Amino acid sequence: MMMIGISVAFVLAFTLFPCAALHLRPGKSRTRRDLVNTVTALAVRLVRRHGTATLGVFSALTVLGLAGMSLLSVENRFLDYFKESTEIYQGMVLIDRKLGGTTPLDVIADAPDGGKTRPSPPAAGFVEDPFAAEPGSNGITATSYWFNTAKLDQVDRLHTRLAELPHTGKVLSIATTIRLLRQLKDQDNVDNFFLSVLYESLGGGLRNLLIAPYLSPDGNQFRFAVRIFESDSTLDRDHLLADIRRRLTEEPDIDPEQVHLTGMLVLYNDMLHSLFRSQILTLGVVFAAILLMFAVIFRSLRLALVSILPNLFAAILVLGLMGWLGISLDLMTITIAAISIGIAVDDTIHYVHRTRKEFRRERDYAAAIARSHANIGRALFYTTLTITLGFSILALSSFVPTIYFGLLTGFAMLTALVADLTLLPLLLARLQAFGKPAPAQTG
Amino acid sequence: MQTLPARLCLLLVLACCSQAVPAGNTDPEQLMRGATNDILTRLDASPQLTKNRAELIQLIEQEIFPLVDFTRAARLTLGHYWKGAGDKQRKRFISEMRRLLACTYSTAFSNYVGQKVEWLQPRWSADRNYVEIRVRILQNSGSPVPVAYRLWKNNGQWKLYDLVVEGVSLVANYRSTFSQRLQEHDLNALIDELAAHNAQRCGSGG
Repeated sequence: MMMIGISVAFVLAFTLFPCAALHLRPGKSRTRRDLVNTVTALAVRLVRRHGTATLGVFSALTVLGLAGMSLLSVENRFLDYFKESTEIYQGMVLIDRKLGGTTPLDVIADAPDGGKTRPSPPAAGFVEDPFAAEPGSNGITATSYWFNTAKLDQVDRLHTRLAELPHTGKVLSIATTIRLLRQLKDQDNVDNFFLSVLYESLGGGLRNLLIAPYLSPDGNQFRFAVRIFESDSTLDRDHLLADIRRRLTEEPDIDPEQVHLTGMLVLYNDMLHSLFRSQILTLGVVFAAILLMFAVIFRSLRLALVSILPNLFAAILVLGLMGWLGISLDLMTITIAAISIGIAVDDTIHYVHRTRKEFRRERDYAAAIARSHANIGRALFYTTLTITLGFSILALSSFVPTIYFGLLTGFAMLTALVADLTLLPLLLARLQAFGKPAPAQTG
Repeated sequence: MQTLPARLCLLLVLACCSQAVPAGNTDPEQLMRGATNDILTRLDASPQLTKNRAELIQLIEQEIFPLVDFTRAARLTLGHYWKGAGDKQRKRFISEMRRLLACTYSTAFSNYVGQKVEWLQPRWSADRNYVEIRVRILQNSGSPVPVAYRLWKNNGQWKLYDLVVEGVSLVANYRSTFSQRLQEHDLNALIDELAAHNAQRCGSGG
C-alpha cells in the first residue's frame, strides 16, 4: 500500500502540482535570514572549519552506537506495550499477579517411541477363563504409558517442580485431576484399577473436562498447561524454557526428544528471536538495495559507497540509542531502522545530485557545498521536519511500541539530516567523490 | 465420582457373603442376589459400621472372603508367572492379595450411601461352568455403573474370581500392573512391595 501511495504522490508531483502552479502568480525572490538558513550555514561552517573535529564526533558517535547495538535485546514484556493507565494493562496485571499468570505455555511429553514399544497386556496364562478375551478389560492403565500410578507419580513430581519455578503461575495437568481425587477421597484408594475404572466411568463431558486436556486418548502423551507471570520484570523466556526442559529431562525415562514446548510463550519467544535474526538480514538487504540504487543513479560505486555512510550512521545511532535506553526490539521497533533509512535516503540523493551539479560548474568542493546547503539544504530541512513531525504524532498512541516507533523514526530522520548536511559533504570533499577539483583549488 | 470404584467394589463384597448362602448352591444369580440383600440389610441397619475400618475388615474376613476363590484369582492375576512361583511364594502372594482386597473392600464399604442395584440377564459360558452376573449400580446422582461378577463352578460350588467394573477386569488390570513390575523385579520383590503397600494402606490389619 505504501508503494501505491508513493507512486500516486510521484505522479501528482509531476502533473497536478505543475498544473496548479501555472495558475499562480510568481512572487518576488527574496533572501531571508531564518532558522533554516542558520542551520545550513552552521553546517557549512562545520564542514569548512571543523571538518576533522566533526569527523571525530561522528566516529565517536558511531562507536557509541555500535556499543549500544550490542545491548539490544528482544526480551520484552507484552504488558509493557500498553500504558499503565490503560484498562488492558490494569486487567492484565490483575490476571497476571492475582489470578495465576497470563501467557500460556504448553509442556508436552511423549512416551518413549511414542508408546509403540509399550508391551501388550499379558495373557492370563494357563488358567482357563472364557471371559478373559474381552476387549479393553485390562483397562487403560495397562496400555497407557503415563496413565498409571507409577508414571502419574512422576508426572505429579514434575508438576510440583514446574509450579515451584518463580515465573510460573497456575499449572494444570493430569496430576491436578488425580490430586483432586485424592483430596476428595482416601488417597490410598488410587491404584491402577481405580484409575482404569475412573477413566471408563467418566462420561464424555467429564473426561473432556478432567482428563482429555492433559492426556492423549491413548494415554501416551501428557501435557502441562502452564501460565507464566508476564508482568515479572525478571522474566527471561529463553532461560525459563531451558530450565523447564532441563527439569523434565532430568527425570528418568524422559529423553530430550520426548519433550515439546509450545504455546503462546514459545510462539512469542520464537517470534522475537526470529525478528532479531531478520533485523540483521533486513538491514543488510536494505543497505545492499540502496547501494545498488546509488550506484545506478550516480553511476559510480565509489560515490555510492560514500553516499550510503550517512544513512548507515543514522541506522547505527538509532539502534544504539535503543540499546542504551533498554528499548527492546519488537514487532514495531524492529522496523524503525529500515523504514527511516528508506525515507532518509531521499535527502542523500537530492544532496549528492545537487552538489555534483554545483561541483561541475567550478570544480570547487567548498563552493559547491555552500551553494547546495543554501538551496537544497532548505528543502531537506523542511521535508525531514515534516516527516519527523508526522511520525511524532504516533507519540499520542496508547500502544507503547507505536510511540517508540514514531519518536525513534523521527530521531533517525533528524540524525540522517544532520549527517547529510555535515558528514556527507565532508566525505564528498575529502574523498573527492566527484573527481579532482580544479587545479587552482588544490593549492 | 471419587467413591465410584469403592462403591463398585462394595458390590463384590456384597456378593460374597457365603455364610448367608447354603453350600452347594446351583444358581449363581440367586447366590449373588441373596448375598447382596443380606449385606445391604446389615449396612442399612448399622450405618456406623461404615465408619470403622477395623470392623469392616473383620466383617470382610469373616463373612465375605470364604466365597472368593483366592487361588484362582491369584493364578489369573500372576498369569504365566504363577507357574514359576514356589509354594511359599504362592501362599505369600495369596495372603497379600487377601489383604489388598480387604483394604479395597473396606474402603468400598465405607462409601455405602444407599445405592440401589438393578439385575440384568447373566451371561453364561458355552459349557455353563462360568457365568458373568451383570448388574447396574444406580447412583443417587450420575449415570448407572455397569458391574459384572465372574464366577466359576468348582466342585459343584460357585466361586467368585473376578470383578468387572465399567468393562475393566480387576484381575486383568492387576495382572498388567504386576506383569510390568515383574519385568523389573522378581516375584519376592513384588510380594514384599505388595506387603509394604498393604501395611501402609491398612496397617497390620487385613
